[in-house]
Amino acid sequence: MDVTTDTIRHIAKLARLSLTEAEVEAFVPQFQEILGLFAELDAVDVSEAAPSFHALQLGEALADDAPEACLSQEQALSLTPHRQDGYFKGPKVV
Amino acid sequence: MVRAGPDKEGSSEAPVQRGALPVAAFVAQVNACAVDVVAHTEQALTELAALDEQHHFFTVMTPELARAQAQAVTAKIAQGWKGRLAGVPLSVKDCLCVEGVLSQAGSKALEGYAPVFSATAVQRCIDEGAIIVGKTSQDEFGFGSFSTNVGIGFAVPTNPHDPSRACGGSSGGSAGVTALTRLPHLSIAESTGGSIASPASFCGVAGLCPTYGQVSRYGLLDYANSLDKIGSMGKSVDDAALLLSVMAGHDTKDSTSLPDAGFDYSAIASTRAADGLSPVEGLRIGVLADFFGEGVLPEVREHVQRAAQQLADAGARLKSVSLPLTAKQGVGAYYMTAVTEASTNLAKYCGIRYGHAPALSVDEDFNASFTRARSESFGTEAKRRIMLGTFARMAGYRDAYYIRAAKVRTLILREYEEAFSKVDVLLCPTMPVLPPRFDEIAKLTPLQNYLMDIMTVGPNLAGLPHLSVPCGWVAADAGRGSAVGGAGGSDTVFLPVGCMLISPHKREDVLVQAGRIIRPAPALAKGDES
Repeated sequence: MDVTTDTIRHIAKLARLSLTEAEVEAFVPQFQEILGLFAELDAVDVSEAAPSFHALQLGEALADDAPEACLSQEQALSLTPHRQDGYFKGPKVV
Repeated sequence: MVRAGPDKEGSSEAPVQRGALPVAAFVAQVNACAVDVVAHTEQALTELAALDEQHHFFTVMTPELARAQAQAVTAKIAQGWKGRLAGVPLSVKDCLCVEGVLSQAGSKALEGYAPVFSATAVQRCIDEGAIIVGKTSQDEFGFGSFSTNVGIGFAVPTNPHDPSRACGGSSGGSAGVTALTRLPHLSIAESTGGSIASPASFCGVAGLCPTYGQVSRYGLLDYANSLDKIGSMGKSVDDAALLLSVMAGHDTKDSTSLPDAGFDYSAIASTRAADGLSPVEGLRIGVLADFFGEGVLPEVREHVQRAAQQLADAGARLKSVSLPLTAKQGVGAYYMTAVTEASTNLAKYCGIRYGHAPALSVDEDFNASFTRARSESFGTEAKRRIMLGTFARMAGYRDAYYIRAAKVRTLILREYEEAFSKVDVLLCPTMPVLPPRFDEIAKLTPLQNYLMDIMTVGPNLAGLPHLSVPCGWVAADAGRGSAVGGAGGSDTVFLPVGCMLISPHKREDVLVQAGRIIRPAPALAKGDES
């Protein structure tokens, strides 16, 4: 596929990243080259293969439905300046 | 060509043979109260700080924690307690959480993050008496093969044998410090696509990446969930195996932890089988023909072939094996999978709950605020991988890219399964080249960087245990403008070559038994300095 500066800007927006013009310009040829590598996967006949999202067959790992110790509210809030009245404080919503 | 140069195995200057006791022997002395652990820890801290100043192996050192642990171990030993890692200096890759210690995965996005709990793998080592000396340098979140993609504000670790060259990555600091320290040392490393094997090869240490799910990922600052594996590094295969045996085991805190996880080192601690035969007698070794051809440095090829011959001399049977799909499509399938998972994993870094947390502005909504926090804290390669993964998950592209790669992954798994129906272990070089100089790396495009992982992505995609073991040395010119050369003013450096062994799932024992047979061969002169 054709990668343009608009493609890069669109992806950046979806990824919640703002890029400098220099970054946008640099990413265009780099993405073109890397997507070329990914496009080589098209040559593989995958018609008989189901996708593997893990290398090993892992069963459902379910925990017992029982309460156990977890982080205290104080601990959870201890790593940020963005806290108020026992809650995380986020950006404005409206 | 074998040059009449120094025999790195026999020489007193051999970089990986600096007289450190095997860790198991050191631990036995500690448990027998024959070592002053407090004094030994001081000695280690002094030595490691000096190495760090030269090579930037650590993101942070933890002398206070180490001293407290040394005191605690000493008190317990005096009461008859014994630990499997008692008194052993242990470095931990920065992406593993250590309670109260900066754990930043080499990223500004985790600036100031000192978690309130330790990763399961780390806690198991502490419980066995290990002394944590610091967090090791890495590519940001593991995004690299040379430890040059460090996060904003972090230093690039330099190769222990030539500081103008890279350590390999992403567990570069772990490998570098393990190679250079003269004291017993273990390091917790982590691999997504080769981040244990690559630096182990480039620094000349043993790097053991276990089966996916053997070691709990609880407390790992993750890169790609279906690929990340915590593993071990040591000066020798036995050192690395001992550390893995302590970390491995089922953990209910990790839903992908294998129900039957565990690695029993004591069962293979002896290098001789019960019947007196070599443990590799009759072992079928598949030499991976695909990885000895074009693009592989002749000296690398020669050393790895010699390693295969050492195994044959010890009783193993060599057979040529091919993995055509893995060789051709492994890098593409791996990177597609890895960047897609990375883009979702790193979505959690938004500048609110932990890590880099810039001041909130009344002019910014959620999107603007998150975007600003992310943009000013992620390095270029992190941005690149997040973007590539976001692209692959976009509506209309997901099936063509991500799902297709997952299907190719199925075929690669089948290819390994087929190979392991014929042989017990696969063997190839770990890296196709010698540790590159920083000026050489700077010239590589991102794609050329990714292609360096051609040997290591396969076992990582397939969740297969693999071991990189030093198999020889190559004499090369010291990097231009570097201060290397030693007291004699020589401009020749000796660079290590790693041989990689791959086994079926849960057969780390075979890797250890085969890996300990391999001994580094004398130095070759590098014929083609590029």
